[in-house]
Amino acid sequence: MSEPGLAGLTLSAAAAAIAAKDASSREVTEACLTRFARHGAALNCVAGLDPEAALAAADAADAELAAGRRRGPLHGVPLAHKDMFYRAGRESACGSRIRAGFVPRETATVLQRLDAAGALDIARLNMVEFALGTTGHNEIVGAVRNPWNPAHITGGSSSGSAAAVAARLAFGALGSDTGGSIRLPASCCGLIGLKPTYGRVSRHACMPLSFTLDHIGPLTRSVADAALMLQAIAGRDDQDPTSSARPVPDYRAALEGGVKGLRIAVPETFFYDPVDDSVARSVRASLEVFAALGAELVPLEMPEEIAFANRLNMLIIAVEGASFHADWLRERRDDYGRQTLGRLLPGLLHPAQQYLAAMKLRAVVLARLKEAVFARADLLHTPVFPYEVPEIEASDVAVNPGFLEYLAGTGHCVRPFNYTGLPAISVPAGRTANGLPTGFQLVGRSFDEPTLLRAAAAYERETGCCAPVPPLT
Amino acid sequence: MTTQETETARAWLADSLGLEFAPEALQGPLAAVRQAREATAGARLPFEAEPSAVERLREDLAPERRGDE
Repeated sequence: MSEPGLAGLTLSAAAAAIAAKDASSREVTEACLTRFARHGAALNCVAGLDPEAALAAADAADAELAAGRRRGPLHGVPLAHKDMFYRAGRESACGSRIRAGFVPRETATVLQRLDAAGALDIARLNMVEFALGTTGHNEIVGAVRNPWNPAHITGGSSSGSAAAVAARLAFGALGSDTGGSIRLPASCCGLIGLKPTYGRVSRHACMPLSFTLDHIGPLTRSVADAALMLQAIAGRDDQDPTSSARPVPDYRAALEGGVKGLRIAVPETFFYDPVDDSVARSVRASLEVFAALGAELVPLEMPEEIAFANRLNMLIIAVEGASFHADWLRERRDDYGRQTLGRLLPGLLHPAQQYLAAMKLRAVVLARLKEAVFARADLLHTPVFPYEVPEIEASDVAVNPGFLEYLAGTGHCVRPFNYTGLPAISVPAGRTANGLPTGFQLVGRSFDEPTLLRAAAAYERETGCCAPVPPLT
Repeated sequence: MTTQETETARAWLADSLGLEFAPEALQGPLAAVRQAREATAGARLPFEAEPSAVERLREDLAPERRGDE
């Protein structure tokens, strides 16, 4: 096993070490670049990396700090992000052949905000082609490999983000989540993955997939790290009219509250329907931790309407995605991978009435969740990825079309919260029989990320759930 | 999937969108459309339902709007 050294710190610890001048930005960036050089190619997680530029940025951060100027709470900390967050003048290929060489003229608001907080952006990370997939497969750039066992998938679509953060190549990464694409790879790689409430984080100058379902959020190695990154990126952006003007609370202040008296809903129906036994055991064991910490577990039946959410989320992605891709579908069809094309084409065939019915049903499902769950509890606890993390070859639907239904099942527990826009966090829950990580999900009321973070932090303090390092050689 | 369904879809894509597909390429997409239709077969929408209601409900569910729940 290679020791990660400084790269093994959490984002919060690295930021504190740099601020205290216990370590320089150059030293932590060099530690990350060493990890990139050693593991990046084997994990296939790197879309673009410029070590010289990264070190120059680190030196600039150190010089600023020496001059008494600390930009913000992430000063000098190297991050890397899914290759779909545009930066003016830098390629953003979106895991595709079609956008290879695309150089945007604008910088994503989320990157501008991380820059303002002092973070370094040292690499672009591989992803599922156009973010259309839950496993991490990509016919164009190849599958990203799981640091816990490179024969296995990372989950997707923020596959490179999860692999890079889990393998200690970067201290944190942004991902996008349209049908679980932050939470699924976080669960498969043993990380925290936070999908905020719809509207909490700007999507300006981020690659669109499905404009009513896309969410942006962090993948990190601690709950405090997720709070730090969310703090930096949350809030109204006039360039994204769907962003909320609601004030941004102090997320780090929420971390210490504990769960005593918190009511956590435990689903008696729906969420465990497709879940492997070993996953269910790990997920249910996390409930015992919450109970021991003083939370009140509230067994509840889920509203019947939630059963619509997975398929209808996929329908909306297909229709809205096809609207973005219509010209390329006409002109560059052969440049798409088969799985991506298979996900987009239904969007050209769904009747408009069916799409609008799917949009109207979102309110119905949310209203039922409000009555059935959030009138009785503060949080909902569910599995994330329903299965043991499979091997890459076995779960490749491009060569195993029969696996398509299995893939639809991968979103069973997560897509309802893209469909309704509720905030959700994936938290590591140990490992299953095959040695790969699994996780549980907490879902909160709209804009109640503080309660999600508070509960996740209490669990993390009790279990050290994020501490294990993948045994990379 | 019947031959007629496939031909109808193929003709629709070609005539309306200028997209030419071989019939076999449409089997998977048409299956997805059928599955979505079946998944929503039991859904009864209120006559007055409209999509933006989801935004109002999200606001209602935010912590400071909990009321006496």
